Amino acid sequence: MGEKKVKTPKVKKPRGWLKEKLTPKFIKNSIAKKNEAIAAVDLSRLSKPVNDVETSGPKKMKDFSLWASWKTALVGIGGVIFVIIIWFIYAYVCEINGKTSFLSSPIDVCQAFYNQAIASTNLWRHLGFSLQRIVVGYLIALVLSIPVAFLMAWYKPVRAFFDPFIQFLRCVPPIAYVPVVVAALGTSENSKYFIIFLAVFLTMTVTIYQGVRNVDLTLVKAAYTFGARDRNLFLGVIVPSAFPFILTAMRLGVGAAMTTLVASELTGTAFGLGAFINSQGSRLQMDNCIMGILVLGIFGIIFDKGLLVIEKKLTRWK
Amino acid sequence: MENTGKVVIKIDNVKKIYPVENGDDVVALNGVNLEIKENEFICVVGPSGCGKTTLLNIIGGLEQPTSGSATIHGRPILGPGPDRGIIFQQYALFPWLTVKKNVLYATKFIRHLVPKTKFNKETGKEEQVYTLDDKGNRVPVMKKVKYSKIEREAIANKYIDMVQLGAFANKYPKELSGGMKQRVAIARGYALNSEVLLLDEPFGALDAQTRSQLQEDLLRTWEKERKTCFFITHDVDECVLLASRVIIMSARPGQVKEVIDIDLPYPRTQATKLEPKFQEYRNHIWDVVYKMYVDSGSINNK
Repeated sequence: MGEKKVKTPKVKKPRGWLKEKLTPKFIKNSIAKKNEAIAAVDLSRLSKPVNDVETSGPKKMKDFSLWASWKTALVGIGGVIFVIIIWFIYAYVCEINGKTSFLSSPIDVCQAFYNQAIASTNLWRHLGFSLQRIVVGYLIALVLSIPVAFLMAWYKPVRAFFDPFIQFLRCVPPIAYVPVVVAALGTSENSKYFIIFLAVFLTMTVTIYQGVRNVDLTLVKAAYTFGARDRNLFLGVIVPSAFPFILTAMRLGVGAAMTTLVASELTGTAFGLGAFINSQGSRLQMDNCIMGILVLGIFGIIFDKGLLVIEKKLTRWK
Repeated sequence: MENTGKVVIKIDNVKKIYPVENGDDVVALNGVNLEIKENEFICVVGPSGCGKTTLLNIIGGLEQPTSGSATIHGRPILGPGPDRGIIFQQYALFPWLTVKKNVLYATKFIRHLVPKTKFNKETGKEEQVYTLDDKGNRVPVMKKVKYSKIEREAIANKYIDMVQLGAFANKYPKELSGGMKQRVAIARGYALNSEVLLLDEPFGALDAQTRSQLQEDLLRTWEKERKTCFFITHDVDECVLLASRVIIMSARPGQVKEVIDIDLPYPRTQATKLEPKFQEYRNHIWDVVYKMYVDSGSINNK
């Protein structure tokens, strides 16, 4: 403390200094030097550990337990109110600032909700289209991803066959292949189903596959000693132990479906929540646009919480 | 206490080598010979890395020897099966099943032999079917059937009561303590009614009190049923207390170092440990095992 920092003048390193350091001889020497230094340490000189706070003992441990639900809810609601206030302020600032930026205030959005959802049924019509697309795409994905994931985990050739496709598609955002799918399948509902299906299928397959691979091998061995055949083992051990992963995959799949919805409705349709958000956005009807986003997000939360309740009920043994 | 019973399992010059990439292969077992006779309680002790668990896995059919043979009643052991129940150190209970369902599951796939019957139209009754054996005697024809649900329930109840977990029959494993979980695993092992019970350090992870209790429980059950047991441990006291025969194995490579018949009468209790003869066995085995530790360099004995 209080020591003056002496600034060392920067010495320009000669050309090829890095090359010299990468020679095997240099690396070997530096390892030898380090080992010499380690051997030279006199452990008896090290003192006993000293506490940070010398009077009050060691630091208090972090509390990893969860809050009571009312506390969580209270802070959550407080957070929402806080964000709405910021939103109000920013919308007001935009308004008085004039031309360059623009944001609808929460009141505008409420008004938009009234116009679209209560005074007319516009919103519900869009929502109906979207829900149908999500449900169809999601259910097809669910029905197919479970067998594919299990077959991938069970049969090596199946895994070798599917793995490249899954790894490839996982890195491509759905929005990138929407035009291709629409061109290939037409502007019918099929293209929307397919885009949502693909996103959900990828997420669920990867998660369930991991779950099946995660099975405790001791349990497998135990089942074999009971005389179980492969088929019994599959139904009696693999499926139940992967079951929590299926439920997790279902929740992740909802997220994937909701996030892909907007992309799937970008082209070739005037109906659906995604199409609504998109078209209102491009017409600068920000009140409608924000309202659509909120409705989308709120439905996502409802789906997720619903699945969470089911998950807790079905895996009480965990 | 010389056991003159029938040989159940025969281990003949078994070698097990685990290949290691870019290094010396690990020789886990190097020419092990062993006979397990009916109604024996065999304990295997030895330092860690002596291939005890490998030997158990080979008998259990979970691993195959690199060379040599393992047979049960002269038939080669090719895989796991209900004739050789295994009790694992990590309990291996199915977490999604309750205690009772865990025990029930063990008997789900077992088939046993019952006399074959045929419906006789003339008398209107089920009648037993007979055949003639090669000496011309009339013998009943047997068929393989699974246990009925009721029979399985009865088996499960019997062994859950045996390990005194009746009050916990409908609990999930996560709701049980370590000792209770291991008792469920033992009940499950017994419910299999296998010819040989293989126990892989079953009490290794338990506290001293629970361990003593479970040792006594195991002794009581064994004294009643005399089921052939193959018990792996690293606890010298435990092996002398339980075993009718102790096998000491040496490490790297795993070999049978010494075989000792424990001539202490059953029933045994924890009080048996106070007998001078027990102490003699214990001290002898401890010397052999400790010497191996020293020789292998695990303990620096200056």
